[in-house]
Amino acid sequence: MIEVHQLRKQFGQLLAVEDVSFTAPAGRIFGLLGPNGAGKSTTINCIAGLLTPTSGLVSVQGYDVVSDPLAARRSLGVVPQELALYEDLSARENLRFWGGAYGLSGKALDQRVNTVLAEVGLQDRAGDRPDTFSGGMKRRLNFACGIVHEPEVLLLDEPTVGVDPQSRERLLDQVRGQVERGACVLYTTHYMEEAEALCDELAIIDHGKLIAHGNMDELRSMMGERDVLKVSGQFDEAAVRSAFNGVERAELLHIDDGMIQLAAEQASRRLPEFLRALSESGAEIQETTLARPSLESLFLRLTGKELRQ
Amino acid sequence: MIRGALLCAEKELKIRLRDRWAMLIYLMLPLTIAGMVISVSGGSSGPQPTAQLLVVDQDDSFLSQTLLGAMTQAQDGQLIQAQTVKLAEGQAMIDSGDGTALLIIPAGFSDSVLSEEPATLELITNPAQQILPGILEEFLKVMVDGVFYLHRVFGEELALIKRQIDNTPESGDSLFTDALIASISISINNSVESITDYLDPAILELTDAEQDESDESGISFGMVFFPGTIFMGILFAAQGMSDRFWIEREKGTLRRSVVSPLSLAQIFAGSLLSGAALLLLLTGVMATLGFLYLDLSFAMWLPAVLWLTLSGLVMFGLMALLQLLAPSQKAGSLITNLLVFPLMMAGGAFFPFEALPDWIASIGRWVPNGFLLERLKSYLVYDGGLEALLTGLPHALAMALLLWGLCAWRLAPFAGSR
Repeated sequence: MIEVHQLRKQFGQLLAVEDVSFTAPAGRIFGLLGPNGAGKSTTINCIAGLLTPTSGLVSVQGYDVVSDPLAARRSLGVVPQELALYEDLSARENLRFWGGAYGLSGKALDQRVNTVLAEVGLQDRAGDRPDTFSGGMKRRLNFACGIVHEPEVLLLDEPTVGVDPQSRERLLDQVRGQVERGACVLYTTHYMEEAEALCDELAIIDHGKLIAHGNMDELRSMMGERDVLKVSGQFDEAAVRSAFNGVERAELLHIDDGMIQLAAEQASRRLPEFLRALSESGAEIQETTLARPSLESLFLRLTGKELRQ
Repeated sequence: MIRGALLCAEKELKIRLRDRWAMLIYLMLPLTIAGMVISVSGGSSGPQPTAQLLVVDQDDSFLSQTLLGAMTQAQDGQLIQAQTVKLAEGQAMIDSGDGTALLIIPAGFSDSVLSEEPATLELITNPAQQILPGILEEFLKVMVDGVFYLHRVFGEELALIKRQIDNTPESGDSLFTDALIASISISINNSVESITDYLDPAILELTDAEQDESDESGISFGMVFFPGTIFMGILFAAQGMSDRFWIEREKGTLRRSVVSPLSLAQIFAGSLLSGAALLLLLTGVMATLGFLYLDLSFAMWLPAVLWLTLSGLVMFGLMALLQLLAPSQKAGSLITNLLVFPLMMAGGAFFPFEALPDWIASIGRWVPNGFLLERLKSYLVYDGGLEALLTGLPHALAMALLLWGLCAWRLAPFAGSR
């Protein structure tokens, strides 16, 4: 279990994380979402013990990461976004080193290394060096190094970046497998559909603050039953805002020169009404897309930007 | 603590030993440079080149023999060796590439010289040789000049001798009476005294100097150069190993290690231990080769190798600290690369202190590698005994502790742990 209470981290004048609190329980996947620079990595680094919080409490399996860092780190497994592998060591040697770093040795280490190699499908390449692997294989080995010691808490920082669909599915199965054995998983990703499909609980962080928190149903309810309409073309922002002033039960989520996004109940039936308003504003419409409420639309509504921005 | 440090050391050592090219460079580059420098400087015991002069003496006179004697006495007879041959034999030898040159002294040469008439000496040189034939030519020119000046100074005496020889009866009775010889001697002596002021333009003061003890002990250039050669290897290895922290940081493995139960102290100790093991291996191999080549006593091997390993750790610490202070991996590599050669030059690794100008040598003896090298040379080359190393040991340990302490202080912020 991870417990974060009133976490605050300041770098000089910059307040990177402001009073963030959440609990990630055992046997669940907790998603942490946020655009670049939102404070997501700072939060993870505080949990991993890389950064010391300015104030607040962070504990892993009940161990305070500041006052009892070694016990906290023993409970943790970390899969960083970068491929943190030793290219000069074979896959097996990499796993043996990281297993040894977490206190495994002898037969227990050998067994775990063999098991993990089989789980990530690298048993045939165990003696090969990672620099001979494909990108997906490296990602799988990177993941394997984080779970070789069967951690009670697993931090996964964008583990599927640049991975082919096949390897991604295998990795996601591995993550589910960790949860099945009772581990607590903290997962960050840019892929909204991945977060929706995988996470039991989610927190959205922006500008260092937690702006939404709950399971998927709870988050969807924040959107109401509203659909999201995306319209691309050429727009005059002021004219569009003026035109939509008279349109009831519709919320402009985002507008720029080339795109408008709005949320509205039963948007498909009201499409002519919206198009007429746009036409009155002098807009040139090229394409329209209608989507059901999703995490992405919620993210957009809460932060005013897409996750990849 | 120890288990974690050994785990890190084992991993580091595996990685370093698998970089076979680097190992080869650390080992071979200093040996190659040393080999080149020693061979250029004449080596420690190589044979001196000797000109083989083939002589056809058709004159067979006292003067022709004197000429040959003068030539073959140069540098105690080691520079030119003369061999009397028949004309055909000599020409055949030159044609087949044997011998440096063929000198033909024609019949009547002696008479011509004494009567100051034109005489021709023929020198046929071997085109296959470059330098030695030139030396012989210059030697002969000096001889010809000498004969010219001999006539200018002792012309009357030579003419008298020539007359007496020409007038010698066929019976063979010599006309050189004791009185005549005395008279010629006095005349020559007077001539010499009259030109003494011109013959001795420079007053050379001859002083007896006691030969340096080190020369008598047979210390060759190779011996003086040998410890520096190993230090070259140490410097290359220290520079090559120093960027490991940067590589680990760039690859993300350093952060991964820091968030594992491994402590920074264990990671640091692992790097230090693996560096020490590698330096021990490297200096052990180089020292063994040097000891065998120079026929040094293997009783000195272990202290020398331990000292070299400690020296390597000092230099490794210096390079690692510079890398940790550098703003980027590229800058770190550049700084340490730029530093290696000045340290080698000033610190006596490339050119021995004995061959450096005094002011550079006095600076070089105080750079870390120069100080450490000086102690080793005192032990290995100049019979300073184990005391030479023991008196320098506190300084070496202090340097190592200071440099590695600073590295440890710098490692936490470097790893991104704040």
